[in-house]
Amino acid sequence: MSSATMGFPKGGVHPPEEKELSLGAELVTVTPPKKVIVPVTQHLGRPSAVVVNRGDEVVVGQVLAEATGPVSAAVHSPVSGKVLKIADGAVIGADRVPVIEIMNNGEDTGLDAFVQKTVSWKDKSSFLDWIRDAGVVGLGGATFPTHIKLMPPKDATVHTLIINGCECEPYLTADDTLMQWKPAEVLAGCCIMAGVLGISRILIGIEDNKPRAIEAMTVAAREGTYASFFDGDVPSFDVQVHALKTRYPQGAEKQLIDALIHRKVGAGKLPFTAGVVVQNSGTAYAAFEAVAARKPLIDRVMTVTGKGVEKPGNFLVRIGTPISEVVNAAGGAKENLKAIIAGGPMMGKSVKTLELPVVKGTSGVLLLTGEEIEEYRERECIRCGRCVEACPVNLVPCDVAAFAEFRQWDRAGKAMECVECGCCQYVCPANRYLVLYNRLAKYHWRRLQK
Amino acid sequence: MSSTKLILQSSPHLRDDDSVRRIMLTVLIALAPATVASVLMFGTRAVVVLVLAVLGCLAFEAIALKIMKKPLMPYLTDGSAVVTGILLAMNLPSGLPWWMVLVGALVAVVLGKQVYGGIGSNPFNPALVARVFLFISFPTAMTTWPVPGSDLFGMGADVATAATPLGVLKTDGLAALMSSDSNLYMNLLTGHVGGCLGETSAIALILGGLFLLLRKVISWEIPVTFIGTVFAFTGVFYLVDSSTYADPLFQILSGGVMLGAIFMATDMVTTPVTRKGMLLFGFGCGLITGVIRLLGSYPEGVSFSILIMNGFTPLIDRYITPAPFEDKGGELQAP
Repeated sequence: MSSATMGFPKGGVHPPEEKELSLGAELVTVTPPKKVIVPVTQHLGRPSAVVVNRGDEVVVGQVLAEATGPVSAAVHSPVSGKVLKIADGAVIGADRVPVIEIMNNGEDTGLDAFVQKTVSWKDKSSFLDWIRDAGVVGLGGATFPTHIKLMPPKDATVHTLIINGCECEPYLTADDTLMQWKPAEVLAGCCIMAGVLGISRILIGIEDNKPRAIEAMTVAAREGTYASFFDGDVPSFDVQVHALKTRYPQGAEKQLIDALIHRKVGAGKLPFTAGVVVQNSGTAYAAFEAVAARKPLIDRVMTVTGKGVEKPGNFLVRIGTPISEVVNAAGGAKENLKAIIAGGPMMGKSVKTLELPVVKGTSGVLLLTGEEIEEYRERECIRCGRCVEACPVNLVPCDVAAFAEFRQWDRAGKAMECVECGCCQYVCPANRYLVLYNRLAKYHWRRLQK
Repeated sequence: MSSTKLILQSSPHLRDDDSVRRIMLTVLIALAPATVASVLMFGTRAVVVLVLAVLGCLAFEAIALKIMKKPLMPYLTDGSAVVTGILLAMNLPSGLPWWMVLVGALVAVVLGKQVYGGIGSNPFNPALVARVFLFISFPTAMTTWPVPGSDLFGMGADVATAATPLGVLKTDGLAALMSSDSNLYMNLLTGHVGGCLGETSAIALILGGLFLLLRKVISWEIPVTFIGTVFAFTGVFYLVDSSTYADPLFQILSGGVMLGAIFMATDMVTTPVTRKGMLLFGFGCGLITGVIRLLGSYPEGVSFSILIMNGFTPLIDRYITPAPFEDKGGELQAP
């Protein structure tokens, strides 16, 4: 059932894992705050449209904003209460986007509607609609609407569902925790998605620095405990749990595909072309709740960690909860806090305040001290070639950086293939801001193409 | 929390602990065995050349930085000028007059490096630019080789000198070379032969090279293809006419092949960034070295070969890039 593989073949780095900081503690449910701030759009795709008005009374799970087309997702109220205002507010990565503020009446009216029931396989044709209506998006951080990934184009032959349990970013332990806490539910979610795709093969990739999650998922797969959530004519699934040698960015979609089925999905191509669909393990759990309890995506598991927080751990948090409330649940920030990172340390965004809401894509928040993070001064490239070795998608990052530095945007088109994983910058002895140069090059390349 | 200023920066937020300075220090450690060997062979003359070359490089680097209004930190302290100084000394004969060593340092740092914009911008290996400059300007002084082990504590130029094995081979032929030293191969390995400071002990150079490989400062491609190509090219000639041409083992152990292949042709700035590019670079160096040695009028061609291939590096990097990340149309494999 389980076998270890070498992981993806080329490039990547192995930074200190720092996962033990937030592992081991119980999953803590954070009390919903007095006021939630729910960004209208929390996915990658077309913005959602607000369907409530200021002053409206809303219940838990009520649609606040609906999808505007196929590649879009609905947003639901995480609490019950009154819509205070609909205005521009600050979120992770943007200072002014539309947000809905809701005063929580503390009664969680409507929450009891989402009771987990046995899933009848006869309803299979409705699974996709339920997942879409629940506003499920990729919870690994990319936040691409899940239902779109479950609708392969007509000419694609999908044979395998890959579940991403790598959580390759250092520090983060949310997926790890969820797989330990609810392995059968995660597996049931995988089966639901495989059912939607009409396939039976499910490969679950987990890095070998998560032995407890591997164990829990392997046991759940072997004993078939997930079957108890279903009735009706449930097909048999070929579920395989694979331990992958820990190496960042194993959880990047294309690296994971390469690690598990040895296919390289080229730049601009979708996983469908290799016959696979990739979903995050947390997304599988959200899909399970969407189908088994008809529960919309109103909460998620996230990690709060780093040496700048008193009691690092993993938390079940309602969407829209200010990060500061979750940090309080983790014992509060320390005096020597030096940086706040939303997400992991390799691809996360540094933010200047804790007063930003948790959104669907918030897998964690790092509170780092001067021991863990520092500001770097960039030097001249010495063309050592380490970035070339580290790049998992075979780019020459130092060249893109040179083109960007000298504003030769027309030569920097290769930057479009960059996944911004940060490996090149991590290894650079000259501390070059290689990812930033790549982002600049992408911006200007797109501008030139118009 | 509000009292301290938070770091706001672009991802990633982690870096490994490597730095330009650390790379330079690693190169210096790797050069230690060869440096010690040169002092053991050539005594105080070697010490004088080493010290003058290093101090000269540091001084000219500082002056150039001042003129260009660049800060001394981190440029002067990153160790790159010291590495250039040691490598320059390694490429000079021990009896060279002191002022020529300083001219070499001036050429290496100013003409070889700073005029292009300083570290990272120079197209040619600075130490080799200086060596070739001195070689063309002062051909006699640059080809006067003190005999190793003689007059170890002397200072001036009045020391016994002799031709290098490659020089004997070029001017007097193979028979003269073989009769000149009954223990030739062992002396080539330990460094008991005439030559530049760093062109002596193959063992000391290989030790340094292994350390650089271990610390991942260099990769195997350039040294192996460089030395391998010299071996293969000269080997063919040896097989065809072993009465005229020296055997390939002699060719790779003598002259500057080891020093060049391990320390000069692996300079990061002036060599390709991809592994495939490095293979081509090393092959080119080996081929040009072999052609100059066997068919040219100079006894040695390592410096020229590396400088010529330095000139090709931008072209190599432009046309030899990593294979794109995509399927090669293979069958689907189950894990």
